[in-house]
Amino acid sequence: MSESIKLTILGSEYSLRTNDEELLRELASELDSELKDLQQKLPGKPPTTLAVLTALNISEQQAHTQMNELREIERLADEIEDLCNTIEFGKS
Amino acid sequence: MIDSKQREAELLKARERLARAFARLETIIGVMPERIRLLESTRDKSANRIKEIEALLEREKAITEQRQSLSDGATEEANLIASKLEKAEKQIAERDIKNAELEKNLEHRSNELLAYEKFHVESLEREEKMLSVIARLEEENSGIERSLEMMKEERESLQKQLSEVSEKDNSFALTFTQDERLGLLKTVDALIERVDAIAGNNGELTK
Repeated sequence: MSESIKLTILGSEYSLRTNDEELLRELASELDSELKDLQQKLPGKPPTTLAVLTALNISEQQAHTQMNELREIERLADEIEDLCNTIEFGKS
Repeated sequence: MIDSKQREAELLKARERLARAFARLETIIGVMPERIRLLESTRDKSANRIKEIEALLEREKAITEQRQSLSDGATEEANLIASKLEKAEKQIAERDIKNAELEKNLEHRSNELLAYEKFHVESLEREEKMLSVIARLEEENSGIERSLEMMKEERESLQKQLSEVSEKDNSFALTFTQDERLGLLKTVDALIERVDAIAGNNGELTK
């Protein structure tokens, strides 16, 4: 069941629908914190610029996370396949 | 650098691979209890087999020790026999040397015997030739003796004729002329020379 909640990010209020209110509020809090940190570092910049730079940071972090996840999944799959081979054929 | 869609696609493929690996692992894990029981059973059988093999090994060890003991005895006996064999070979070598000397001596004697046989054969041949010569000479001698006998007879006959002629000569001495007497004397001298010649020949032959 999606329900409507209200969130405040960088002083602006947003009304959103979600199935996981807790997660969405946590993500909104993290985004608001990052925007405010950037606003302190870049005073006078418009909120749109801050939003774009933050989105860019988040995209970069997501890309790094995905690459790390990909490498970790590959490593894990290798280990499991080696384990299966060891069990089935007695060698890795 | 790959974009976000490519990363998502790679991630999806990796997750699918991981899911397949997990599924395979789960399948293996599912049969693991049975496999473990099987391995434990095999391990127990192997342990029993090891005990049996150890028992066999102990028996084999005892048999090997016995064989080693027998082998040592056989080796000692073989060494003794080898020593005797070595002595026998030495004696045989010495005998071979003596045999070689005897053979050499025998060969020398054989050569001597052959030489003697050859000499003997040659002697026999010479003897045979000499006998043949003697027989021939005896035959010749017999012939000569016969000739001599005949000549003696002829001589006696001639002497007889001579005495008859002498008698005639004496009886007809007065009747012959001088020329006739000379002719008769020549005839007599010729006869005497002839007889002497025959007598001389016989003397040389009888020598």
